[in-house]
Amino acid sequence: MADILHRAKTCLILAGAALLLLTGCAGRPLIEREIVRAVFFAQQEGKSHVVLLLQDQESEDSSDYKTATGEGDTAAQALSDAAAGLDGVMFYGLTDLVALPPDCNWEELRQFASVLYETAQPSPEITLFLLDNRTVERLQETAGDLYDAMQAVEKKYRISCGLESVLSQSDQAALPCWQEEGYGFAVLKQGQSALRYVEPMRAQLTAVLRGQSRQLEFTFEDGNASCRAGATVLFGAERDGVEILLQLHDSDLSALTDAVPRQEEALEQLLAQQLETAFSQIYEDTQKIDADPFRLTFWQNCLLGSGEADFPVNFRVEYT
Amino acid sequence: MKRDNPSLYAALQLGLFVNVLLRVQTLFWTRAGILTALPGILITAAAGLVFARAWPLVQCRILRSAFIALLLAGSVLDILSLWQLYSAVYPDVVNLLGICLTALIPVAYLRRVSAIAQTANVVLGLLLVACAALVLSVAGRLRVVNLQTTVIDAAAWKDALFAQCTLYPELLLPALWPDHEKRGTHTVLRLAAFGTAFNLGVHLLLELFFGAAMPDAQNPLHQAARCGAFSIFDRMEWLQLIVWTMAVSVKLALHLYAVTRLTGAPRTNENSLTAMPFFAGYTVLLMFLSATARNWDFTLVSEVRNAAAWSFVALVAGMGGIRWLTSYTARKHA
Repeated sequence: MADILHRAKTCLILAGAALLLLTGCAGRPLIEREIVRAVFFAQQEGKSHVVLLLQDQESEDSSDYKTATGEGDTAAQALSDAAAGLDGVMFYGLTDLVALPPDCNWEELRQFASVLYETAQPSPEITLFLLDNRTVERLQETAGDLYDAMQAVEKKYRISCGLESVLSQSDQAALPCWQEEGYGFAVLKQGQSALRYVEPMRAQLTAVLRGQSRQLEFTFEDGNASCRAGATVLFGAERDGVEILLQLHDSDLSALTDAVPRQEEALEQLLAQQLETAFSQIYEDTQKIDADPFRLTFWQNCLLGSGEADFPVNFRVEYT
Repeated sequence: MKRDNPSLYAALQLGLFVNVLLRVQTLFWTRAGILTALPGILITAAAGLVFARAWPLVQCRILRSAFIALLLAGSVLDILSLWQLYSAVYPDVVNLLGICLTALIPVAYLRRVSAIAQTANVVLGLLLVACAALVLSVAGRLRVVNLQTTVIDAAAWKDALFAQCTLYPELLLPALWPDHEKRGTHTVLRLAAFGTAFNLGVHLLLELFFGAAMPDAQNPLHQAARCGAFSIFDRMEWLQLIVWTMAVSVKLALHLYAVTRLTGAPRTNENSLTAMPFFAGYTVLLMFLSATARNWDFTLVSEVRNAAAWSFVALVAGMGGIRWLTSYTARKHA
């Protein structure tokens, strides 16, 4: 009898708890939410603007989007303004792309990052891009297409530009820039103006050496030859400095005109020379703004001990 | 014998791991953490051992009440940590009442010591498997260059040492166990050593993943888990949350068992069931305390709890020392 009473009490408590869960604890239905897929920040006429790309939940096609805009003195205010104009509760859990104004420097990037940490932080990996110079109106019109195109570029070039990889250094950052052909790449250093590469070879080489991309795909030798290859970077240290070995695998080099030799060995040699020249230029540029996007000082500290600041760097290309 | 008096080591270890998983993930840089690991283990283990020796000599109603308050504070912090995690991952989906019920209802089935011990072993196993899967899934994103090579200054040393010297109730609970072997040196040392190793492992993983951005990340372990190459945690994050919720439930059940021992609630034998009204009272009290503390400064409350735990241990150790000295002198005179 006591056992039955005991069981009855347990059942009553559990039923009560279940009732509470079903009546009072359930959250807001998904349909009442505004699911944000991408956030585009922009600056225009001294004001911060934001364009939110939202999932259109009334459409049966999951690839249909709608947009919402907001403006304010700061990015956070613009974001609040955009959210205020919407009926549902903002949901950033599925946000996977954030685009920032094209002239963003390191300090502004940190501000945008703190806004993102406070709002869109549930997202596992937010891809960051720097936008091109388009107006807010055009941005609003093309947000959906831009989102799809950026996703396609990220996939094609195997870019890794999540918030965590962009901000992995304490005083500098590097991220891709959106452009019609391929992608550009920007290096931002605290207190310095941004270093920006629009030429595909330099942009992609910088991304690969930073570990933010694993695919090279561009034309070289004034557009007379093309290259498509997977890329891996190895760092080593010798007595005479740090060595960077760029390994290209599954490479597909082809001559597009008769202006360059058609033999594969000759094309490989030509590409290696151009990559070495590009690296020298990039290294010189980064030295000028006192940036170390390739973490060369880390390898110097670990493998050679903290020695002279100006240590030699050797760059080699290897085909595997 | 084992059936009547099962080992709660797995539950204690799980409780320490839960603290790391839910709260302390980015408190120090790994290099500083490794250098302060040994002092941290020795200090916390020494506190646990001294407490285990002194507690049987000095326990009284006031000290037992203070210990219960410490346990309740720890339980409330665990529930609120879980609530914050759910709120961040699924905003506006589950409220605090829902989280309280989700974590506390399973405790109804963990009112027997043997049930806590068996469930803790299973959940600990699941947690370790999940951690291994997490490391494998994010292995491609871990970069050795993300390790910070800056000079470790006094502030970094202090942060790392203070973080490793956090005194969790799990290090004090063996003092309550009836079996003397279970509050021996090896138990407390193992708890402290494995707890610190797990803490360091999580910090290392996150530093390799986030680099300099590690301290800024919100719920960093969860974010890292969702970026996994296999998308295990992205697609099945509910599984990860279930494991974490189960771990919190086991921890709450362990605290309930400790509270029953401290209040002297009737038990026919060591493995007897905690009475349902007692459990219901404990549940209601925790829900009330969680609702009260929901808007408090979480970091401040954690620091106050830690300071209170150290003060409590110091008080018990001091009183125990005096009691031991007076009894020793009395024996000598006799």
